[in-house]
Amino acid sequence: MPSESGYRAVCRVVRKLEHNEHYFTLWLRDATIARAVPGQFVMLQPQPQTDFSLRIPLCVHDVEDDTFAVLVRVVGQGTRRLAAVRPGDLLDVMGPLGNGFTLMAEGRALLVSGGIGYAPLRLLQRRLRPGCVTQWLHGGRTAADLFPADVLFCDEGVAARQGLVTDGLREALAASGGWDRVFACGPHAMLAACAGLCTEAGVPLEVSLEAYMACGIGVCHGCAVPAVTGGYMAVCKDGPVFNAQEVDWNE
Amino acid sequence: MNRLSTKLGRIELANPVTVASGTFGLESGDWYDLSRLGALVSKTITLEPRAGNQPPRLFETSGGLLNSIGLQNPGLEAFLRDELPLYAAVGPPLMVSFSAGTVDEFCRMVETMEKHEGIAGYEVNVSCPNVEREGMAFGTDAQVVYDLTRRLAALTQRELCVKLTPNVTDIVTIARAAQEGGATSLALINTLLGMAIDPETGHSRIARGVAGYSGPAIKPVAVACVWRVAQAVNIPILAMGGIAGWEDAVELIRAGACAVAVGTAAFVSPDLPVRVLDGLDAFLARKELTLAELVGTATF
Repeated sequence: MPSESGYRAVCRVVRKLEHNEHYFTLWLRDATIARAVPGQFVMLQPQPQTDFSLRIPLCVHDVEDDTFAVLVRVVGQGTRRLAAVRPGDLLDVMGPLGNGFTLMAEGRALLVSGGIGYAPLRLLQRRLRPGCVTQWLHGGRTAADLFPADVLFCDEGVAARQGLVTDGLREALAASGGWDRVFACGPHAMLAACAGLCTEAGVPLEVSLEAYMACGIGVCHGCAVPAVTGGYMAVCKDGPVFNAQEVDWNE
Repeated sequence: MNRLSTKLGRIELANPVTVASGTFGLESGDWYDLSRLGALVSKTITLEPRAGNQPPRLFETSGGLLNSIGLQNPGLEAFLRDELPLYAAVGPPLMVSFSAGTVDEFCRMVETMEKHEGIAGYEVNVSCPNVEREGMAFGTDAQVVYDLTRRLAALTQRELCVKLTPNVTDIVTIARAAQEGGATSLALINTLLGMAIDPETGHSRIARGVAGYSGPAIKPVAVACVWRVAQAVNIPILAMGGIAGWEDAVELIRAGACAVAVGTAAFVSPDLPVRVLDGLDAFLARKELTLAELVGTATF
């Protein structure tokens, strides 16, 4: 990982893209954070902060020159505060934090995402190319959860195939050609299913996990994820990217 | 004399600002110079390693945070071997927060720690709401607190600070019991019991049901507890509960605290402890007061 430990900056929002009523993208300017590797995350705090509220942990979705993007799904009080942010506004940002995905110089990589799990795979796909052949399968519960990918899965919308993104993963793993690695991010049940399918197929799987998080720096032990060896790992410090085999999916 | 210097029982502190157990780690040192703290306080250590509670362990509420970590820690042996040397190297006196399931186990832990250099004192955690055995059951019974403190006081000449829970009918009774047992300082308050429920599903937001509630929302409770306890005891008070800025530290000091610990709000701003310190220093300079002169100056 690039050594940026302890980096924190007040960043200006340079662009906001509203995708639909549930999702938006913020582009912020900071050259150091824009050096994030795929899979890393940031802790955001809209400025000025009036009342107490925790920072909002979000994956780095994309980078361009000295700017970086976060893709946001409005789910709770933190993301609702972010939804009120406008271009020109300032955010206090800690990061980049955590580890990142394994970057392959060449080979065949399968990307699988569900809903907001789309977020970290965008930068990953860009960094894997052009050395790697990539295929990106993305699923959503509703048409609002869909973003550009190679194959979309949704029970709504004409551009998507019916069914679950994990059905697509099963087919892709069975098809000839094979995959060197699968990268996935999405709801827990989807990732657990991906873990089962990849183990069966003997293909390494890396997952990016999300959890309620307070500090983001390994201090509070709030973002616990059960380890297959017993005990818990911290999403912020040991992850957010894990080998699927490290995670106890049954807990 | 440095206007910020203070004394927590048997230990001299260069300044009164420290960190609340469980909200701080050596990782915090990536974000500010830890040597500026008046003291360091470890996360709570138990004799055996503890995996901690099942997630979800956190839920944010208006003005505060519910947590149910469950004293996750590597156990005393690993702490002494792997972490103590790193804490000791930082500089400020180290208070080791620890907890146990029985009085004998508390004593065994102190006996073991006494053999190690680099520990200035102990924060006896008898007030964690998030575990069964090593939990706040100890800290809610004045007789138990007295007996435990008396046993521990006989084992050490180091600082012996008992951390109290606000989840009692009368915290003053417990504070007096700790003082009579031989505590040389008190830390208060640990988290309040709290709970949040998803209105749609009816599930608690926290896997274990109830949790510990901290953050700015609990500051008035902390100020009242510190004020009442300060009227009743003559040992120093290390105050924590909702500090989000130097003004909050001043409130707790005016209520009667000799030192303060920054906790939950440092999750938002990791360098908050040193900003509280700088703000407090500027305040004392403006008022032409020393810290000692500010302690217990609240009026009504």
